[in-house]
Amino acid sequence: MKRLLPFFAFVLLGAQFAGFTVQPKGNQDFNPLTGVTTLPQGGTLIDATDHLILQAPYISYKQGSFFEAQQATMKGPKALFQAAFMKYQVASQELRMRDLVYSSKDFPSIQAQEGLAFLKQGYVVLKGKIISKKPSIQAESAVIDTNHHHVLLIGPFIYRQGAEVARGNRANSLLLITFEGGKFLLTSQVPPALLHQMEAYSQQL
Amino acid sequence: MVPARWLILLGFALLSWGLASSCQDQAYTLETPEGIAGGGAISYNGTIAVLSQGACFESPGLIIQAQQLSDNQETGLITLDQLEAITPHYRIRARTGTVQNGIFTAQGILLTTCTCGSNLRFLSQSAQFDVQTGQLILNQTQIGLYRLVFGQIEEVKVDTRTGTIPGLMQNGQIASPLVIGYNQGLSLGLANFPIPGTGADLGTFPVSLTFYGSGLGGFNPTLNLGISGVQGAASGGFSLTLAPSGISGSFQVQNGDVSMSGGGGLFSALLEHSWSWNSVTLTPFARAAEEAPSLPSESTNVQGLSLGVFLGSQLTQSIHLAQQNVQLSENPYAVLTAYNDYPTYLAYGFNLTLSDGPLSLSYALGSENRPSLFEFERHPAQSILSGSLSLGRLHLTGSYTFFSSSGPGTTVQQLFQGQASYDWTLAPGTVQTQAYLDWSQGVLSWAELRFGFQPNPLQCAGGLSLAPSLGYDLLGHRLSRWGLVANYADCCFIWSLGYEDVLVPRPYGATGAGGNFIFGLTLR
Repeated sequence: MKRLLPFFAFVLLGAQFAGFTVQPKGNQDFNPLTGVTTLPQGGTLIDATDHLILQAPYISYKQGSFFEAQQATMKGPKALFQAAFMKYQVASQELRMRDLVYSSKDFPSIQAQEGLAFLKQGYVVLKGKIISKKPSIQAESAVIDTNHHHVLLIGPFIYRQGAEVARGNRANSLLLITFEGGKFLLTSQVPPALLHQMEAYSQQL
Repeated sequence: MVPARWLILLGFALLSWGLASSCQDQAYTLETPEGIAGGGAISYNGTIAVLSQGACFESPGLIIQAQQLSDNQETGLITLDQLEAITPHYRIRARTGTVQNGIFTAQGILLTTCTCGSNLRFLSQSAQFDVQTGQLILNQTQIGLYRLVFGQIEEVKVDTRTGTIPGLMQNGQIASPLVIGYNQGLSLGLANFPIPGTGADLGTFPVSLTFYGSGLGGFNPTLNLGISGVQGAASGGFSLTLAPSGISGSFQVQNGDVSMSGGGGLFSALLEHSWSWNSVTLTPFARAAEEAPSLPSESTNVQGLSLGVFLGSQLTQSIHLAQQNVQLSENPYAVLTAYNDYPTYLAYGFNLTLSDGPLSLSYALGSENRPSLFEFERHPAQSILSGSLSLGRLHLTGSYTFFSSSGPGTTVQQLFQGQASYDWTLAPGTVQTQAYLDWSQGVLSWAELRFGFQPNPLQCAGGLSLAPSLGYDLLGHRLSRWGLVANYADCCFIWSLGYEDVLVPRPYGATGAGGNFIFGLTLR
């Protein structure tokens, strides 16, 4: 059975949602008291208009409010989230994640313990054991601006290039990475306005 | 208003503090194959990393501070601008510098030993520093001393780790070639003034010249001239003394096992070689010499040929004694010397030392069949027990000479010599109190109290300190000695000027009676 979910309307890295169809793998349990629908065998949520697909072995959702998924993959035309746990809030259009891997054209793979994606604004905040192979980064806190192809590392970081290792050694160390046509520029000197804006996102996780 | 000098000192203190902090402690660091770079900011443009806002570079034995550092990963070249390098003994400033393949190359160099300013300096057009070995080669160098500038030296080799420039500087110290003194007239001039080498000795100072007058204004003014040099294992020197009483010369040369010296009707030619097995050393020697008489029984020079062998050993072991682990060192020795015209000389003996922390006890026993012909092989007969004990700031030493002889008529028997010293540490320095006691054959023959004040080492340029000393003869109730030394520090040197006078010397002591003018010049 296919069912349209008109409440999923958000921007996921540039894609505008109109609605989802649900493809359950097994049962759909609807709790009339809470209004929450559970897919205990998991399933797939598809936004056909913008080619967005959420797949998970366990999903629960409430119309107009939220959805939660475990061991979930959310794939869009420009990015991919994989997380042990995801929770999407409809009102704020924020996606919270635990033990996640984020992939995009800029980052083939960046993992973190916690993540918060502002889907409408196009920002992703990462915290805890952040590891990326390309560019080779280790950090504890990062803010990704997907619209302007910026990443800001805040606090101690390690950046490897060739045989050399650069480190930020302070709690207030910064490294701004700007992606430009397959290359990236890095600097610890961040324009104050940009820093203020990105720190505001960082502080929300 | 705060004097400008204090602002400069404060600025320098802050700079020193900044320089002393490790490059690894910077906000941003970059680990490169050449060493660790750091700075207050980092940025990358492709494969070029730039550190700025107080950049630094550190590798063993070298810390460089620079306005900016750039690291090109593709070429492995690190470039520094307006840099200042600190090594254990020197401050080095340069206009620009690069590090590549373990070699630090710089242009527009100023190297100084001074803690501030540069009143003693080496100015070089370019320099290469080997990061691994710590060797710095200065090219086209001028040496500056205050407002004076000395010549253009093609090359100067500096070991920055030991602070050594062969022939010129040891442990960051230049032996002052200046001779100033007063002893039956004024002494003034230069002694062992270093001359830069050429060819194979490029970069070192293998030859030194001496030119000074002594006894000037006195009854026997003398001009002393000399030259000495070192090349590999060989060294030699020649000196000439011109005085109203006549001209005399002396020389000494050494090359490996062979050494010769002579002058004033005396000479010595020596061939010796040492072999060592574990703790045992065997040194056979052959010598031809004419020596001045060293024994009161001799009135004329002694001369002859000698052939001898020295056998010595140094053993150290830990033994368990009275529930303590005690260090025991034993140094037995034997000397056998045959002469062409003098009976064979045989001496043997040993030194035993027991030490346990602050306590040390030694016994030296020596025996000889007769006085040796020459001073060279002499190991006098003796039997001496000595000991020392340190209790915090109190140090006690004493020795009892049962018997000691360096020839007929120079015998010491039943002499106890004791010394107690106690140091009082005060804020400006240390007050040293010492007591000296001699019992000769059971009779108290000498009792002296000495006081001295040793000021703390001068830390600031412009600092002045005084070191007075005083001695009192308790048996004769009179002043036994006095002295006063004034020390003045500028940015580069500590100048010392003083006078010591021994009015009543301690019997069997090292110093005789008489005044002594003191002049000292050391690098800070």
